Amino acid sequence: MRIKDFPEEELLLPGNAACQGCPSSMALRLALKALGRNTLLAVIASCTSVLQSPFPATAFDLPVLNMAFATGGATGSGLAAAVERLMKKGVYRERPTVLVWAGDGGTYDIGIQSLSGAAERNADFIYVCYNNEAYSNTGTQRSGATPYAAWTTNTVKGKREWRKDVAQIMVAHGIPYVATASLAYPTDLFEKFTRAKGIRGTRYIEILAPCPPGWKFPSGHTVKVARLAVQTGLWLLYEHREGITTYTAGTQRIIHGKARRLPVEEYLKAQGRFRHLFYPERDEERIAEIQRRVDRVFETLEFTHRLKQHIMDIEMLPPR
Amino acid sequence: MNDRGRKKGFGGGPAGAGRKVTEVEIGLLTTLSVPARGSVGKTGSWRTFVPVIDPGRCTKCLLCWVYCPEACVSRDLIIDLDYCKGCGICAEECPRDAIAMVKEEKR
Ligand SMILES: Cc1ncc(C[n+]2csc(CCOP(=O)(O)OP(=O)(O)O)c2C)c(N)n1
Ligand code: SF4
Ligand code: SF4
Ligand SMILES: [Mg+2]
Repeated sequence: MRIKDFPEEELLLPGNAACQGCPSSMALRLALKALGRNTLLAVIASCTSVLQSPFPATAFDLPVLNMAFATGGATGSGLAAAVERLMKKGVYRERPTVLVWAGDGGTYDIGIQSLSGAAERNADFIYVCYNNEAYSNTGTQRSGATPYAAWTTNTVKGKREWRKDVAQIMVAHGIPYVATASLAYPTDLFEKFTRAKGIRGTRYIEILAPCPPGWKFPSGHTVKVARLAVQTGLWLLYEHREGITTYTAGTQRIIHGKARRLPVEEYLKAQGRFRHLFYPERDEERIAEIQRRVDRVFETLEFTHRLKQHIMDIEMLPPR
Repeated sequence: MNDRGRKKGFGGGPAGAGRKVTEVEIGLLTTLSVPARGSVGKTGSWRTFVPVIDPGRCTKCLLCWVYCPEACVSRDLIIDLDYCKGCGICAEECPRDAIAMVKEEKR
């Protein structure tokens, strides 16, 4: 897939209420390009509820259902059941894609039991968590997705806990498709949505969404920060299907030794929410702790890759 | 707003949902919003810096089109200044440095 081949049709219209440089609108715009107009969108309370703009106009040119904070999984299940029924009645010529769109607060914290239940029933919808690593809409409070040492309004000296990993929790549910995506790799993101669309059952996609006002960087740097997250190894790009995880785009290039992994510092320094790690003096301990964690993850990933290559090489040898 | 919602049903609706939505039904759905550009007005007024494309440097890679969160760069690379919020992503991401963010005189 090339950028040239992305559909021209816009389902997210300009002149909406999103902030300058908003990653949530960028993510939704690209996702809708991949999924197309035949989509039923359910938005869970978040910035996306607001950026649609107030009644009587909306910036979303497709059917939208605005739902309560904890209801992502249940909403998806209900819509999927309704679609099933309407398909039987012959109301649709083509099966619409059910897309549930929620933030990290709505996914990691308040929505996880509903999502887990829906995944266990393998309800037929795509669930997207656009992860801006905080409750952005209510002014940047910490969530279960906020990373270690990050400032939020209620972690003023930096969060003390490490974030949890909901994409891996979804992998553990054994659903047919789990993927992570980044705004800096739009073709990778587009292809993941296209693949998800072609699968039935619960599909989970998580997009890292660097939020300029929440993470404190200039609005022009949204994509740059998203790219640094991948280049430093702090955000992994992969998809998981039928028990197999495949690393993609920038993450794959690092694992395959085709790109150098950047020091985490470059990512941290680009954002005001980590400023206390550098000013008034460097907090070597916490920076090193973050680096060590990433190093350990990549040691395992690179080892596994080399081992696989090695086994493949042995299998290719002619029999003795 | 306009009569689009009424004519086409639920803002265009999923393909095949071409069932006629009657006025009575629409009348009951009082919270139904209508899709529109400029749903909060001309967001171009939020801007301090305006993106200016230098056609001489541009290679038409379309990265600015794909990254604009506001969907206001067209495929032929015309920026809709009514709605461009001046975020600067297009200029930052242009691999050819063909877009400059220029301080705008207030209209
Ligand atoms: C039960 C409930 N509690 C609180 C709120 C208020 N609320 C609306 S959006 C929001 C933040 C959502 O955070 P997240 O899911 O991360 O999405 P983001 O705003 O970051 O895009 C909160 C707390 C609510 N709508 N419902
Ligand atoms: S990103 Fe730059 S080079 Fe690419 S199409 Fe836009 S202006 Fe042209
Ligand atoms: S400055 Fe931002 S809103 Fe304006 S055209 Fe560039 S990317 Fe789009
Ligand atoms: Mg959030």
